[in-house]
Amino acid sequence: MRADPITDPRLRIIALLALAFSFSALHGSIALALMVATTMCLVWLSGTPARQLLRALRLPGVVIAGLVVVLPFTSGETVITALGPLALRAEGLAAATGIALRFLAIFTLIVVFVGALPLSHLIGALRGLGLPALLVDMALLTLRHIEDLRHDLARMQTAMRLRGGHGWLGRFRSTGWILASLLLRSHARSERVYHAMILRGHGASGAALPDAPPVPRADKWALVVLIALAASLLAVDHLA
Amino acid sequence: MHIPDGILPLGLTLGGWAVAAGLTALSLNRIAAQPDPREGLPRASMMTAAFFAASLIHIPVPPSSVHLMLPGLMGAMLGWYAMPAILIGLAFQAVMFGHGGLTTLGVNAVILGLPALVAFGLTRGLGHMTQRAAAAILGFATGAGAVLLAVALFAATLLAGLPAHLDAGAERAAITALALAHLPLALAEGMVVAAILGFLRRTNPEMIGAR
Repeated sequence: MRADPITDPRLRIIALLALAFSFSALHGSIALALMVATTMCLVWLSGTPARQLLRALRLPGVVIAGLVVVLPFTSGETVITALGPLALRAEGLAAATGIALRFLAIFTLIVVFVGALPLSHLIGALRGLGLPALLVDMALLTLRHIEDLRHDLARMQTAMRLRGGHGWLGRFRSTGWILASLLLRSHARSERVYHAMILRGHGASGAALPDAPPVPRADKWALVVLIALAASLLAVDHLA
Repeated sequence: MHIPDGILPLGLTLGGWAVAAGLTALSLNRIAAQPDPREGLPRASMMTAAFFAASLIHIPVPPSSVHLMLPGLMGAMLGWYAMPAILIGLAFQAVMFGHGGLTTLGVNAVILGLPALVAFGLTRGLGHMTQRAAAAILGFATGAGAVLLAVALFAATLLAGLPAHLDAGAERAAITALALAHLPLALAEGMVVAAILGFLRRTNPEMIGAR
């Protein structure tokens, strides 16, 4: 039976960080192969659908592809083959392969460990891990404003297009002005929301924070295993 | 212009997290010293959402279009709140869109946070400036300068983290290409930020030259 390796969001974040930093330090072919195997195991255990992974990968994949395509032709001295005026070099190819594999593995970890968590749960978990209260409040309020802001922005951009009549240079000024109007309007709303929260007792001194749920024993063991795995990969890469 | 996971070596990513944590701690410390540390929270959250959504605002710069980055505006409007706001915005972008990375979150926060703090220093008196032309020039310099500084930090970090056997000629070519590619963005953002700050200076001067 397949199940998430860890259910507690706080421990998920710790495991994710441990594995991600470990993965980012791997360079040898054996360690990279073990990294790919570990990632595939975690995907299988969590039951993350391949379609979800591929959909999440669309935008960041384009960014990394640019670098991975350029490196084999610009980096290194050992020429493997020449493709017209371009020379494919071994060192660059190895570096590009390493970058692509590390990127894919870390990206997959993010999707597996926190991809399915609602952002509000993620922020709650970070608070449980000791994130300063001001950052937690800022993150929660930001979450509250993102959708409103996107909606207002789309409406104002449509209105600007319908008005038309701007030259190329005038476009910058009118974009600046609609953004300034948007910021003023959003600022007023943001103040109202925050003051309403304070009136309802948010952040009052003496207000008790909700008790953090206890961490399941199985999660603790899973975390130990994953941290040991992260350390083992580093050791393998160092010794190989 | 965010560095994804998998490119930078462990030393740089951990160093980035350490510097970002230091700058954030310094910012939180300065915020805590204010008479009402929570007074700026609604504006900071609203600006974080705007920073997050900035990638949706495309401005035509022939032959293509660019999207805003806004580090200069963040610094001018948020002051010490800019660094935590950028950190949160980048974390949301990384988790929701895969834009940027987790191990590189610290480095990316420094690349955009430092220019924001420099912009904060430059624009402290902007809200009270009486000369419209001088204010417009300062607004433009804030927007464009912050982007150029961010591009310089981005290029330096990327080249420091790329394989050591990349030859010097290729490095210089990459830096030149990167700077030239971002020049239209810097100019566009300079003009947009000048227009935003000019508008706010006339209507709500208390919103710029933050604490």
